[in-house]
Amino acid sequence: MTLLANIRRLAQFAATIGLAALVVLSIMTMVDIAGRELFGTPVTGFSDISDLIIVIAAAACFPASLATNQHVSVRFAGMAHWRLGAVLDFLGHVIMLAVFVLIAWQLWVYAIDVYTSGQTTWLIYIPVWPVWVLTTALFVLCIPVQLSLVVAAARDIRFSAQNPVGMNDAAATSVRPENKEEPDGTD
Amino acid sequence: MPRRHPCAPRTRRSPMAPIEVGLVGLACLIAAILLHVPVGIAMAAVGAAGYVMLTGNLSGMVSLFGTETVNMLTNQDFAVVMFFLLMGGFAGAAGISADIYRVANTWIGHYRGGLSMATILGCAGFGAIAGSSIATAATMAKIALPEMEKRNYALSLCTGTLAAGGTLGSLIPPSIIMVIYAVQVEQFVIDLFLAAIIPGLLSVALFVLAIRVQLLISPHLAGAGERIAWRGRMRETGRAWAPIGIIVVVMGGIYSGFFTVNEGAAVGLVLTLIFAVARKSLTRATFTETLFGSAGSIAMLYMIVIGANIFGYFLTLSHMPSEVATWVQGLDIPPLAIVFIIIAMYVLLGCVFDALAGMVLTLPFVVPIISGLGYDLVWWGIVNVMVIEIGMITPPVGINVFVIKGLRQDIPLGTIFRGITPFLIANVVALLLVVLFPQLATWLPDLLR
Amino acid sequence: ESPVVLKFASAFPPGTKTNSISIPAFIKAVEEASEGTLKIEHYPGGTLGASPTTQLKLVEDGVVDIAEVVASYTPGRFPELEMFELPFVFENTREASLTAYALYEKGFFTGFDKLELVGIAEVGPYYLHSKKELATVDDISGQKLRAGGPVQGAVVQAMGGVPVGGMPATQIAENISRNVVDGTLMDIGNMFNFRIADAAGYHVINAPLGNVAVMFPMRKDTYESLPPKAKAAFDKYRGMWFSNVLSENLDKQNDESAARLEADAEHNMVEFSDEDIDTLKGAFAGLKDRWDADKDGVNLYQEMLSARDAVRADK
Ligand code: NA
Ligand code: NA
Repeated sequence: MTLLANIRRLAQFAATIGLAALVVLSIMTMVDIAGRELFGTPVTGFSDISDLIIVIAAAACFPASLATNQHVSVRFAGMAHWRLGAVLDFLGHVIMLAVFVLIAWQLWVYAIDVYTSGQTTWLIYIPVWPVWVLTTALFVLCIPVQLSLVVAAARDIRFSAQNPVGMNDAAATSVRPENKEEPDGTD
Repeated sequence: MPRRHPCAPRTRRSPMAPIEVGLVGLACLIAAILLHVPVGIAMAAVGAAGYVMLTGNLSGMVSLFGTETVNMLTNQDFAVVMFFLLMGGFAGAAGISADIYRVANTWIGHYRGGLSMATILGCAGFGAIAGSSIATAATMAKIALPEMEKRNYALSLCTGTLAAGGTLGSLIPPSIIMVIYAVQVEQFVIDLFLAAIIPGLLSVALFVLAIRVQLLISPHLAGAGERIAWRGRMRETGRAWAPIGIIVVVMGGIYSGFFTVNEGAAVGLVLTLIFAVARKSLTRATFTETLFGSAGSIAMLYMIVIGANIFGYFLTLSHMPSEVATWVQGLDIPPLAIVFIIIAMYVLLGCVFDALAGMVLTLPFVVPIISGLGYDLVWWGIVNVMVIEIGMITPPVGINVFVIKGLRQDIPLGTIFRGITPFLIANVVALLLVVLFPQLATWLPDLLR
Repeated sequence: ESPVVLKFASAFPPGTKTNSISIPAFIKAVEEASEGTLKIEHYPGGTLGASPTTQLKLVEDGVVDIAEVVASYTPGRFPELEMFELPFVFENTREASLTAYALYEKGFFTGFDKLELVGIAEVGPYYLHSKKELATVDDISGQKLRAGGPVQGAVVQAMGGVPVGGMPATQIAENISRNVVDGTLMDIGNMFNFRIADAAGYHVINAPLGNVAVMFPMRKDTYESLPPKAKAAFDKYRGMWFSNVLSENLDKQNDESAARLEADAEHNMVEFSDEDIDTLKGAFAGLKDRWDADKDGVNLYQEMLSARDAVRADK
């Protein structure tokens, strides 16, 4: 499972870099405000760059959110029976995988489109296609991460049957907190 | 296979009328959410399936996953949630919540139930930095719960205070819910922040009142702490200069027009980060942990809105929202009664459903009705946030309650919900006041517009 | 037999002149002429696609059939339309719109290989609106001004201002009141729609700074596949007729807004002196060079001027 571990590490790395870029952007924003208020010299094209960084920062959060299974689901029906719960979890993960495959595919289509049409930013004509290629790559990274959750969820159905207590290796390796705390920010 | 023509499938429409498909889709969505599919994913998947049912346009459906993801990733107004979430994360890591709580305690800790009231004020203060209820409830619980238990406060009062106080995290600006509402309904988020100030303070006052009244009835629930001398109060308050300063700079800067909401959030993020580093409370580990934890929330919020927007195409094509709005406007009922019916429906929905998802999902139905009746959409945004807060603390599904339960598995859910009751009453009173006197919300934004 | 149904979308609010008057008029005319063979469903307010920047994508993907597309949101995609953003060419929306449609019919516009133009409104002219006091061209020097695209950016720079980009029209008012920018280029008709009138009190009304293309494209294959009767009805009203209705209503809105501003004591209608106007014209002189040159035997800029003069003469 070293490949899987590496993919997860990559997801974590992407989120850290993406959000660190956001912190850097915030510092740049402060410098821009200072320049504007104190010296009356705004940086031409600053917004062009900041718009691009924001796209990447937001996209960089997706693989990590899957790796830690942070998307809110209402685990209501599963309370009835552990196996029903496991089956539903599995189906939920499959649907999620399908959604991320579609998003990654269509982002690639979009990246090609902005490349061929030569789309640029508003003021300083930065070509936007590299940003969308990177964004596509980040969503492609979501696919193996989510696939690993699907596999783990499928194992849960089987293993839980042999071991009704619900403790098994798959659950332990997949880092899926079953009674997970709700993540912050869901409100 | 020849390329599917956008016009061609129209002759092969589904045998059901659009409205019927819409109803089935809505039912499927609710089923999918109750059957463990994450909310955003469920909206995207059911919306896409329904879209194909209505139009037969498979390639168009597939393209929506790209279009709506691109739209949200490039949406500058929405991007502010990232800054506010990170800012809240760093503020928690820096111990700002503890600072605010301590200050509040030195001022009112000597009253009976003083720690409980200090918790409410602490929640409000931390809520002025953090944008989410859950972060507020979780952060404050770690600090205030042990203190209250040390003084033998009844567990129901402790946990009720924290679950209810946590909701102030989204009513006191900045607020993630308000950002989402503003983006989806195309209102200025600054107007919503301004509009929330008076209802937020009103809620704080009513929560404190709820504690006082409760202790008049059952004094055994909590004792009183010792009175702190003025000098001690000033010293403790002086020590908390940083969080107070950050709130003043960020929110003051935004309200006074010194910088935009996005710039204010960026400044706040940097200031809290600097403060955390200066205090040496931010290690490399807590830094990456904060980033990583925020990443999960950020992606989930984006996914909810992406999903809601894909579902929106389906809803529009089903003609359900417009038919419902026309039907409601045709009813011979006073507008205020319609408002109350919608609120009652939201409260019921909030009992069993993720309250935020409930709002995002129903906005296409509710907004045309509310604006059609001539009401202000900024005011409705505040009402919506207050209703969502109620949903977060009502049984059986109350996210804030689960947060407390998650931290302390030994406390029975029943105890927490029992402790919430007085605050729930306070919440309902606050909501009634804002509904009956919309000026409470609209006065400030109108004044500064 | 059931009619062919087309979806006509706009990301802008239902209350705009275009959504409340012009598009309904077009739909009514076409549907009546089609004798039941064509039905057009109107989806204003972004209910089918909320973001103004992806309306073109929605049409190309076949999610909607016709949409209100602001051409400058996709820089580089419709290069010839940028030419209409040149200052001191057009006096109102109507003459710019009809000129644009005439050039489209002559096949001068690229980017339309798979698209058919249903109508176009060259909104404008844009004028300079500022929070800071303005009396002469020199006062513009150093002002931070929102530009809606590369040509407007060059216009701002030529006037001595600092262009600020990447700002949606909905954020202009907030950014002016927060000193992020000092002012903006904007058509007078939208001053109240975007609340800019609340933030900017100085309006230079005798220096027209170019028009911005808002167009209504449709996929060519969808258009070709319309049944004959529906197509005939559609052809009767698309193009010149629709562009004319669109632009006349927008000009009406321009006049109403201008009257409102003039009646308001808080607002200052500024007129630059003749010398200042000449200074500006001189500063702008180089901007047209991109188009004022023979390319494949066509001088697009001169074509635009002669088409404009024909529209003016026709009136
Ligand atoms: Na808050
Ligand atoms: Na609830």
